[in-house]
Amino acid sequence: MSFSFWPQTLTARVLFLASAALLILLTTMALVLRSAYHDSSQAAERAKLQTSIYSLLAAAEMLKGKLNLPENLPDNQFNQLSSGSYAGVLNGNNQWVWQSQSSQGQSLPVLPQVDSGVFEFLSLSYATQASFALGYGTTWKYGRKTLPYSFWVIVSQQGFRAQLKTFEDTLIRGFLVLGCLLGLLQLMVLRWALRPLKRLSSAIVAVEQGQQQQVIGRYPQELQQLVDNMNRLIVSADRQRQKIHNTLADLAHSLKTPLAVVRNELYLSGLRGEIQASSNQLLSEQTERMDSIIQYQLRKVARHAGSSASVIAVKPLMESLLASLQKLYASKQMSLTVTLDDHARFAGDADDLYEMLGNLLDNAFKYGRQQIHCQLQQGEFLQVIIEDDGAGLTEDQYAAVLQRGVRADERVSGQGIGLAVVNELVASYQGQLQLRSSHLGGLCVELQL
Amino acid sequence: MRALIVEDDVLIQQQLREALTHAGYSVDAASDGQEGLFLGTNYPYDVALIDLGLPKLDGSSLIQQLRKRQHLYPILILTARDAWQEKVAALEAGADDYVVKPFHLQEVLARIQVLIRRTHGLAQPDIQRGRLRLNLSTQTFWLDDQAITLTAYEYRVLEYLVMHPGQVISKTQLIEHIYDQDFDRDSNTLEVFIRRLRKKIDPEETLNPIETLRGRGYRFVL
Repeated sequence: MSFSFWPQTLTARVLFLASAALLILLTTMALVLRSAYHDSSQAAERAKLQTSIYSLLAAAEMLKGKLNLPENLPDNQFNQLSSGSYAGVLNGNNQWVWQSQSSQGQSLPVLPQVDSGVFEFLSLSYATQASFALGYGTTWKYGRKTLPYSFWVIVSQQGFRAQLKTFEDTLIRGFLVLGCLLGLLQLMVLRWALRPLKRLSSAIVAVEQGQQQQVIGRYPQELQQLVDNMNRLIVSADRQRQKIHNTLADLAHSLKTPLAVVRNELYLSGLRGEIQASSNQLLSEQTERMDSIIQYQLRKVARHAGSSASVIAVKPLMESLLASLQKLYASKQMSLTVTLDDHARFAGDADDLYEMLGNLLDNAFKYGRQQIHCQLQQGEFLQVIIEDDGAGLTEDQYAAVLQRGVRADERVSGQGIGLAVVNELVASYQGQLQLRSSHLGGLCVELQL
Repeated sequence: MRALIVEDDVLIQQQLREALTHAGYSVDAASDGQEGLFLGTNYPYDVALIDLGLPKLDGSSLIQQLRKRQHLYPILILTARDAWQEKVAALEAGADDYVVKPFHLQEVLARIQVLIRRTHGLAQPDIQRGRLRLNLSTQTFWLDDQAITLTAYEYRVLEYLVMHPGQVISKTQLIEHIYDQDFDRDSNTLEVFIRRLRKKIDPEETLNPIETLRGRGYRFVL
């Protein structure tokens, strides 16, 4: 068996592919959502910085050619030392002409001049912290001079990062739960969707075991066509089997009748004295041999052709056989001890069961002296035990009489082809046939099917 | 003893007829089920040999019909199909035994004898009646230890009487059981047989085994 990367069941395959698709989908969704949240949070930060710049612009005034801003700004963040929010104003020479109290004692980073009326947003590192900076360029009229200034507000990204982290954690937890739920839902949907397939599989097993003749029940449209085709195939195979069975039976009939004529003519010629005794014996032996070969081969072929499975109650069949054999062997006045389980069932062809039990019981009646024990029991398997008080067989003979494929004309003398036929039938049903010595003194045959 | 053969294969029918006639039976034969039913219901047979695969009326149905009409003589089935299911079906229909084609004629004759014996409650082929002894297998007859030679018809008459001891057997009944339907039946011939038999089996006229009941028939009294 070669190893395959792909799972071997349909459920596992669908589940594997659907789970992979789900993983890709959820990951992409999570990345897109995170990116959107990041951008929107950043825009919100920028808007906040813009408001701060407008406050600074509102507070600034030009006194004697010098831009002045109050010491305490309305936004308290800019008044507390190292608060994380800083503000400063660059003049046209790129020198800080003003900086907020929060940045006292430290120099503000080098930032560019911004064109008048333009906002410039930057990410930078300041005071060992990742920060956002927003600059706005403006001009102030002093006399005939136009003085350019750039107002910069710098704010730490700490809050923004913490917010983003909280969002990411929530997103991952949420998507994990969602993934599990979707996976579970997918499994349930899959099971529900594949239920007709399971039902079909059970129905096919039931047909195979002979519990039903055809695949019955309604199936989804996609499967119904398959079921209908399968049923047509079963019917056609049954017909074909029956046809072969009938043809073989007819063949047996047409071969046996002329053989009977030849054999009888030999006997009558002997009576009439028309044939020499030695020739008669030779021809009789040869017709006997032909008959044995025909019988054995026909049985063998018919067994393979005629098998059509169904579940058979064994007890009535056994009772019929016993009644018939008691009639046939009435003169022997056999004493029968019979224990038959009402629930004994055989899944297979009735003809085969008749052949197996018929041959075994016939042997017991034929070779038994006075007593026969029959037991029929249904456990996990069907168990049949038939014992007689005849001469029995030696252990060496057990293997010989059960040997499959031994031709009829090579069989153990006196045993008929009964046991060989039974053994082959039992093997075709994966059953077991055991021979041992019976406590009655004769042969004990145990059959497990 | 009178036997009926119902077999559609003409050759087998002829061979059976020859073998049975040779064995001392008077034989009637039919080639299909309907003819078999007609003969089987209108003549008193001691045994019937019926093929299962018959035209017009199959063997199993023929047996069922005969049994339904209270014809209880033993029936031996001749069949080419030796599946147990078919054997059981035929035996359940009312047959008593079967032989599978291609059969040995000796086996058929032996089976017929066993069936006839069983019908008359005899376990062995030897029948002892007083000083007289009859062996059904070898068809020999002894007075004490001395074998007596009988013709085929004499044997048939004696065998029938010995197997129905103490019963009054009418001349018609005896004629019907020893002759087949094509035979020219004459009751005077029967009387001749009886007279010859009496001389052969009781030469000293001390036993008087066959009693004549005037106007009613004969009775074997030993």
